[in-house]
Amino acid sequence: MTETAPAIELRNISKAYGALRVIDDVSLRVEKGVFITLLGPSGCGKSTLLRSIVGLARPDSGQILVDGNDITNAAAHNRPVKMVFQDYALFPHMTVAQNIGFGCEMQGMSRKSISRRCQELLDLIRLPNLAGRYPDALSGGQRQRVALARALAPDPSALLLDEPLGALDLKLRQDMQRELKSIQRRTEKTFVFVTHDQEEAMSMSDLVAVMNKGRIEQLGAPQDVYANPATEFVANFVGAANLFRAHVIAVEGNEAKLEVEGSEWIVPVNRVTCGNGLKAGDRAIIVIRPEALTTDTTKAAGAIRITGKVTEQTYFGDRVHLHLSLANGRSVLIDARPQSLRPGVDEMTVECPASDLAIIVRGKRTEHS
Amino acid sequence: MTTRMRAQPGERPDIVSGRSRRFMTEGPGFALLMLLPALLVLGFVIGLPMIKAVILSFDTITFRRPAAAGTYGVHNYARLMSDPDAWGAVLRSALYMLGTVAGSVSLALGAALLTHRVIRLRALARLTFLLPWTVPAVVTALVWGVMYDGNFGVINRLLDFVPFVNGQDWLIDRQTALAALIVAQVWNEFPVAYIFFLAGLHSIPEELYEAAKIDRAGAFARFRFITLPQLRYIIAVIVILLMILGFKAFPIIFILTGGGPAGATETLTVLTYNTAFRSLDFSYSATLGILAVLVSIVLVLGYLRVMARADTGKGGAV
Repeated sequence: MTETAPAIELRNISKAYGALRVIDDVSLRVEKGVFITLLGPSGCGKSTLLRSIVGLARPDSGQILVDGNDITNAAAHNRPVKMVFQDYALFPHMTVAQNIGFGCEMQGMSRKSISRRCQELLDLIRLPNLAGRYPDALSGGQRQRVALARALAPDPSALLLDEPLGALDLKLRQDMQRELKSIQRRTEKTFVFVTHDQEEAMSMSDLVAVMNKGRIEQLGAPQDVYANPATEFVANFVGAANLFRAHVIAVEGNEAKLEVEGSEWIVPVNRVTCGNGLKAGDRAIIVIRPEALTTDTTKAAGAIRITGKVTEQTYFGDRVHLHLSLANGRSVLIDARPQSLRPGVDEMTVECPASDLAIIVRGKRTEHS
Repeated sequence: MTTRMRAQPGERPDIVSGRSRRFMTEGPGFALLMLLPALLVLGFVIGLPMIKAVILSFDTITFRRPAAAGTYGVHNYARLMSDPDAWGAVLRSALYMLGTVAGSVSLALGAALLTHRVIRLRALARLTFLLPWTVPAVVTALVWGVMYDGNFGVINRLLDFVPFVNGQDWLIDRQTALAALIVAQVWNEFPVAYIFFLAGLHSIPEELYEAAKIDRAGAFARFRFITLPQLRYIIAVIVILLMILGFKAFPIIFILTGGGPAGATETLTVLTYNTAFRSLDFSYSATLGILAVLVSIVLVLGYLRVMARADTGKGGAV
């Protein structure tokens, strides 16, 4: 083990079930104390990746290192990582204290040490008086916290959490998101969190790895992934997005002239989210987030203006969704302030500052290793 | 068209007929009505013989003293209290019961653990373990009788290959007869427990084992801390069911030894039969039967208590 070694390092991990490749050459480096989320749709391989790290699944190829030590072939019980399961996997015949102390007991710790550690963790999860309760006498949120305490009890290097908030209702989920983040900060442990809920990933993580079809499509800070999606999948999966097919006509200095679905747009070249920039002839996708489009047109130079017929206006209280139908028949979504609601208005022009759009050059992919 | 009659002011509504109609159509009366055919059949085939047996146990109907018939009293119960044969039979019944329970539970649990995990040939293995259940007890007794035969039984033939071990007449030797019967009984009834354990093992979430594995629990620790506690109610139910089956076991013992040699395998049920149909002492036989029923009632009460606890218990596969 070295001081500078990352908490978890994955090198070219692949795993297939028969002909189905569930993890496809994934490489990832997670530094100590980071809260990273593996975000992706069901079946994208995120849980299998987590199970590979903890030792419940064996990758077909690649290397897994924890604190610089190769644990690829180590048995699950010999790995310095613990896991919180989706359904918590609390032992129903054991009390809260027995559940939390189970890992310590298996490690051969003395009863006194186990008892002290249990109390520390019960204080950490703010359930100091529930040591003698059975899991079926706990609420969903309490069970989730006990599962977390049980995983933390043997003092692992990293904690892996497999959609642990999935079974909770919205309000409790939001509370537990804050609680989880708070516990992670206090314990300074590396958390690898798996979810398909992009809002959950955005609100809790230091880093988000967006996965699709067994690969990591993009790795970055939540705001970076949202503002600068590297692929069409990321743009669509993380938040809502208006995507426009584009063809690069010419590149002059810091600007590029694009043909976008029948119109000509001038965009800054530095808005390309991956690869080595734009060149004439490239095919690209322009990503404009619905909230980047504003109904208050400034006529500023460089702003992208879109005009279309208003087909639908949906009021949400704090914001309004407008649907514009463009001349070529495609629809554009605008997430605007409630003041933008224009009953009776048939046609509307909206504007997006060129600095708020993102350009994805088609056929290019980011590297994460 | 329907006409509804309403009580007029000053007129008393027909409350009684309404109540009785409700009692018979939706109240306890309805339930009683539906249960009546079953209650009649049960009363006829179980209740009447039971009452007859109780009456008989106070009577003095014996082939040796036909003239004493009609002399009622507690003399049979007094005789029972001081009859060493009867209490010896109770002891043998208890041994037989405990032997079959221990053998069946351990064999069934082992087989269930094996076939629960093993993937290849699992269906064949399960079928093999279930097969003895499909064999009638009478056939089981005849087959094991041939196998135990001192001269040409397969068990002694197999023991010929084991150094320093000699075959023997398993059912004729007082030391081995009861154990030999227990083995045959276990073979016949362990599939009942096997089915229960297999279902119980399937109901234990795999995540519990994975969580324990991550927490450094080895195979034995996982069995001790997860499998056994999760199966605790099933084990309790199976133990009591097998105790009931073992206590009232009859065909295998009766066909293989008839209670011999020299009463070494004479359990309470066999003694009851022998007293009635060999000694022709029907009243005392009925008294022994009543004793067997009382023991069975205690076991059934234990079973019901375990089931009630399982319904309100904390976790565990039931």
